[in-house]
Amino acid sequence: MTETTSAPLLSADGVGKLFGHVRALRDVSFDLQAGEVLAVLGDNGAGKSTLIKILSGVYDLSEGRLRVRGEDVTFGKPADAAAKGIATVYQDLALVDTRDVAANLFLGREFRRGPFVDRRRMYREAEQVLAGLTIQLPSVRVPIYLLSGGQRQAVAIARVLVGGADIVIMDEPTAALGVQESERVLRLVRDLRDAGKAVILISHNLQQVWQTADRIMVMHLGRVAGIRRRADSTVEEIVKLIVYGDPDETPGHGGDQQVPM
Amino acid sequence: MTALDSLGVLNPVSWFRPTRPSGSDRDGRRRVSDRLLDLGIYLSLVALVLYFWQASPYFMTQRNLLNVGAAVAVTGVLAAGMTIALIAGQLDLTVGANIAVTSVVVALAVQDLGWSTPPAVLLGLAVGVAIGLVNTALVVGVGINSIIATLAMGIVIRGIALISTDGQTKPLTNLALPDFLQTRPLGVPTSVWILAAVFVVSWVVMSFTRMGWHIYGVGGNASAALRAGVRTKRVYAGVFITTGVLAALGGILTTGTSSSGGPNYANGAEFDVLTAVLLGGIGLAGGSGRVQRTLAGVLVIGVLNNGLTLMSVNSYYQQLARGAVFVLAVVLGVIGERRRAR
Ligand SMILES: Nc1ncnc2c1ncn2[C@@H]1O[C@H](COP(=O)(O)OP(=O)(O)O)[C@@H](O)[C@H]1O
Ligand SMILES: [Mg+2]
Repeated sequence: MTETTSAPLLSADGVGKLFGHVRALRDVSFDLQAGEVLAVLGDNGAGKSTLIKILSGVYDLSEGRLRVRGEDVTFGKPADAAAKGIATVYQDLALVDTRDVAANLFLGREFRRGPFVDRRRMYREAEQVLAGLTIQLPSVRVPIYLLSGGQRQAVAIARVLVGGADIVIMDEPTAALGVQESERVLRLVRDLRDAGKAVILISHNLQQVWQTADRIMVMHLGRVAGIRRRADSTVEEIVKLIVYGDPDETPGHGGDQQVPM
Repeated sequence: MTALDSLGVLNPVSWFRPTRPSGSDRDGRRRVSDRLLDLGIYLSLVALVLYFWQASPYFMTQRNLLNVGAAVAVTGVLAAGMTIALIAGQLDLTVGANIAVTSVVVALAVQDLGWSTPPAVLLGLAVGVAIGLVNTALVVGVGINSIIATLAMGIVIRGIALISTDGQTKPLTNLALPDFLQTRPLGVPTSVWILAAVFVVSWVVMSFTRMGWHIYGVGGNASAALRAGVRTKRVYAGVFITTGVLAALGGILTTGTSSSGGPNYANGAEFDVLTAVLLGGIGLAGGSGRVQRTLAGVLVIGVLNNGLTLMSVNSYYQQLARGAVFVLAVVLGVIGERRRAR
């Protein structure tokens, strides 16, 4: 990951968002490279969800600009972001419980042969995609309702791979999972990075993302409090950024706030 | 672990809990009880056939079995449509009224307007398309729940049928349509051919076409389908047009077999249809169900009616048996629903 040699896949420059008079985001700027995981951390209300909704085309931005592969983009709807190679794995995963894994992977983009769907090709390619992931599924013919939380995450992530997106946004993928399942899902995130994708990982759990993120962007009250390479930072520094929005703040100054770990 | 245990029978909680992977199920295999429930409708059909076979010497004859097919033709055609609607997470309760208005329209076109039968039949099918479009407009355009929208539309449509014949049944003197339905290509009644064709086409569409896959997707999780790029409004339109056209086909069959058009035909037909569909184990929440299972449900009802009649069972008791089957269908439906729910 030599940031200097490759142009960023995605860059945000002075992005802001107003909801009427409520300012949810202010002057958010960052770059995202292929093959890296950028964790976005921040307390509730920090603006994480608003940011990813802008990146995935759900919201229009109020200020600033977005560039994908150096090209200015404006997203009017989620399909616009998808067309630029940005895929979002939503918190609810957006899977059809009653359908099997392959049907979910190819929902909305089923292969066809003449007037019919090409079932054989979809089952084959579904197996190939899932074989490349660290979470194993019993079969691509199992309906989603029989899968565990981590396996569902694997299907949602495999959908991204099948769709060919190169920028993947994941909203709190481990929020509803136990420790072991979370561990497996974070390994999936690393699978994505190793496949050359750029991943934005939203979380409010520093411990969980610490081993997964290459860089950590901390948001505080709608601003970027700081962006750190994980290797050059410490847990203490990140925690201070999350809690106080300032790495030099000393505990006690801001009252008796809880450290979100 | 005992065999009963593995069936989940010893743990009452598991009767009501959906099957989630746990323990030996973690690899996504399904419980034996689920599989038995899945096969239940086919096993019931086989059991009924075997029972009536030994109970009546007339039952297992080619002629009688074809009679069973002809008797369930209209219910079956409607049930195929209802299955597709329920898979999409919708309900179409206009189908009975649709039959009535279609039969009236065809009869009026042939008798009062002097049309020949083929264009009159096409007009009847067009009525089905129109009803489907109106239902789509109410459900998708206005956003009314399909149960309410189609229940109300059904009343309106039957009202139109009653007004257009002044409440009278309109007999056909041009018998081209009844004569056509009397034909037996390869010894099989035309209505049975139509029933078979409807189920084969429905099965192919639902299992092997993008439209079918999208219907399952939209019914299972509409917002996920939308976010995946499925044009959900078009899917709903396709579904309501399908149920409308199939009901109109049922109306044309009814007109032919009764040699008349009647504004009171198929009153309450939705209940027979729902019984058959629920027997097939469809989930009311949408996204699941199979047309082939509905066909089995239709045949269970047909075999039951036919067999009880052959055994000269008093028609009041037949009514009771039908009611029992309906209750059974609902119970099976509820169990299936709980097993799928999270
Ligand atoms: N649709 C909205 N309308 C008005 N205010 C909003 C809306 N969405 C978010 N906000 C506000 O923007 C701020 C950031 O929220 P959000 O992006 O959800 O933060 P996070 O996801 O980090 O918890 C909050 O103050 C929130 O109240
Ligand atoms: Mg949020």
